[in-house]
Amino acid sequence: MAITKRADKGSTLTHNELDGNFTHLEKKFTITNSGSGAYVFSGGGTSSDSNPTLYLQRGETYTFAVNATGHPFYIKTVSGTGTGNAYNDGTSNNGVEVGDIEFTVQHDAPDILYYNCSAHSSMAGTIHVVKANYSIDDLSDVDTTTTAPTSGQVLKWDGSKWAPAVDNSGSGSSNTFSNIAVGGDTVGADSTTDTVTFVAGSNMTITANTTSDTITFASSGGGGGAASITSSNTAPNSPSAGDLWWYTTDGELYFYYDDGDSQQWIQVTTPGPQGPTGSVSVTTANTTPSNPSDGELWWNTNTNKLYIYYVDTDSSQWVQATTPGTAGTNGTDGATPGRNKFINGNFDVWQRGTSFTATGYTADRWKLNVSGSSSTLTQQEFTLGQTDVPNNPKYYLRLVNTTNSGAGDFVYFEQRIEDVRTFQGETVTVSFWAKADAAKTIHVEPYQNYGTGGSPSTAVAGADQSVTLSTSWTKYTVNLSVASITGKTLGSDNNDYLSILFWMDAGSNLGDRVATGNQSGTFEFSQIQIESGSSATDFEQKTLDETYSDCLRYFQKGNTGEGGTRNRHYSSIGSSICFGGTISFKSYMRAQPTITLSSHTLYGTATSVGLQYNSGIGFAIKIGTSGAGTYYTDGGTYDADAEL
Amino acid sequence: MNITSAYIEQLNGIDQQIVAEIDGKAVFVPLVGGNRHYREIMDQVEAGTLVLANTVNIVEE
Repeated sequence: MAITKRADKGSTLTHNELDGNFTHLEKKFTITNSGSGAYVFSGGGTSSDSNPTLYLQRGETYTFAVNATGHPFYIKTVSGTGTGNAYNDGTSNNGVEVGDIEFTVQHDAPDILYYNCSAHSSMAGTIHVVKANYSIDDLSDVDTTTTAPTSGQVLKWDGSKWAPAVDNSGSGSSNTFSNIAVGGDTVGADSTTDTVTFVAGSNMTITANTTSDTITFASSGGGGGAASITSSNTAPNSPSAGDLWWYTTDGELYFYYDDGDSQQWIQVTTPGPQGPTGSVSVTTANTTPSNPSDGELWWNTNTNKLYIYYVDTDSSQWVQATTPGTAGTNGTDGATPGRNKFINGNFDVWQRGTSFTATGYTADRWKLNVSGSSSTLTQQEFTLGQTDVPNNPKYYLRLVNTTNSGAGDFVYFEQRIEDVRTFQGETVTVSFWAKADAAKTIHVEPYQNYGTGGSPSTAVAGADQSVTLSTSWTKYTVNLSVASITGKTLGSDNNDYLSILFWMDAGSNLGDRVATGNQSGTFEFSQIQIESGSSATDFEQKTLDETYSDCLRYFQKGNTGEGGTRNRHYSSIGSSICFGGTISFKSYMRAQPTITLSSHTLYGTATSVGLQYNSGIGFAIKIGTSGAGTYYTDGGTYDADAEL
Repeated sequence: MNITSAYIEQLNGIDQQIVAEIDGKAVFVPLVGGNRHYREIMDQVEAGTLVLANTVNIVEE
């Protein structure tokens, strides 16, 4: 058996029983005619098809077995009747009516050929000449020649054509993962059944969209990350990628970065400018405040020290902010000026004299009251340089009580403070320096007098307080309650007052003052003060001028004559009463005072001296004369007394 | 307060003051209730422990 021709793909072999050979059957179309209307094709991919469009492959040989008498079958380059434009390249028997046309399609054959009946235009069809093997570049909108494709690339539309490109979303190299590493574990894509499963942790959701082939990881709020956050002044040991470190020294935040070939802490924040300081808590207590904050202040009331709560990079503690100095003596500047309502509490002014034995005013504003006892009140001068009583007072008051035993006997001194409104309804503090010849108890008593004239309320003696004096100078303090004057009635003479009484001797008839009892002895006082409230402050220092001016409202004395001593006049008519001059008081006095004239020596015709009038701001002297002529007085003085 | 004598002195028929001797001193006491000497004199007069002497009227010429 011999094979005479290699079979083409798609062809068949037929066994010839006569010669015992197999022959290759060419691709063959059997063609008849349907009248003059069309060729009818069978075989070669056709089946009684009228004028079918044929697709012939270059290099292949086809047989057109024509049996159409009267209808010459031509293969042409241009469709149309007649014999022109016949395409004979590789063609045999082109134009037969009955017979075979063998057509070996040339590789340079036109892409389009036609078959026609040379006599009938309706008997025609198209032949597409096609290649044996197509490249994708044969497509008109594909260009794989300008840029040759490389392995792994795909065609992508670049806006005008399909061209080779990497298989990812953008430009750059293509990355293909075959393994996914998590920590030290690796999931390898080494099997068709390998599956990577994502599990959402806290505060995270994972959603998949099968339509868009998208997996979405989303935070559902809060942190939830596993990154370590360390606040320290040193870098954390063995950090992991993504860890955060707050550097407390400089206030900077660092991120631990691992780029595959190096690891380092990278500063992710730059400290901003220092913000304004907020409010700071300040605690005054004798114990340490709990839960303090940096910068908080604490005044320790036990030690009088100020502390600040200090937080540094590695510790926190209370740090003393100040170092206290030695305690100084209390000054007077901090207390209220004019707080001492006693006038001449320092016993600086003694206009009436320096020794007294009977009831009456003694040192200015201080009144001695004696009944049945023998008492002497004197001005005493401190020893120079003494330090027993502070502030270097010059004088002190001494009261010596020698005989007393009667039930009605008493000795006390007092100061009447003008206006009963003073300290009404208040607690007052009376303080004084004092001593006695032996331990002696005295009583201090408030007394409110509503004055005279009209129908004033009855005077009120308040509860007294006792003080036991020692034999050395000591400062004593008593608190007194001064009654309210609400509902009381003042007299019309404007002479109401609050008095503070210092009882040294009080017989059994003296009512509330009985507790003092009959008592003799020597009592000495200095720097007496009364002020509002229940605490004593230091004695309020005043200048001598200040005290003297204060005293003048109640008592003053001076000369009545011209030039200080002489009061000379001339009377031509010899009147029995003649003008002797006017005297103005040194300052306004509390009330129209009682005038006492003393030491007037009469000269000339003068026979007597008296007070002509008293206006309250001054007075006039009158002089009795025996006849016309010069008369005068000399050396005269006056006392003006407006005490309560 | 020891008052040994006291009388009212007038000027041209008008009460002017009280001339008194108090604690051994001649004093001129105004006729005002706010004066403690006047008040004491009046208290003693009222109490009957002091009697005011005859009023003295001084007439200016």
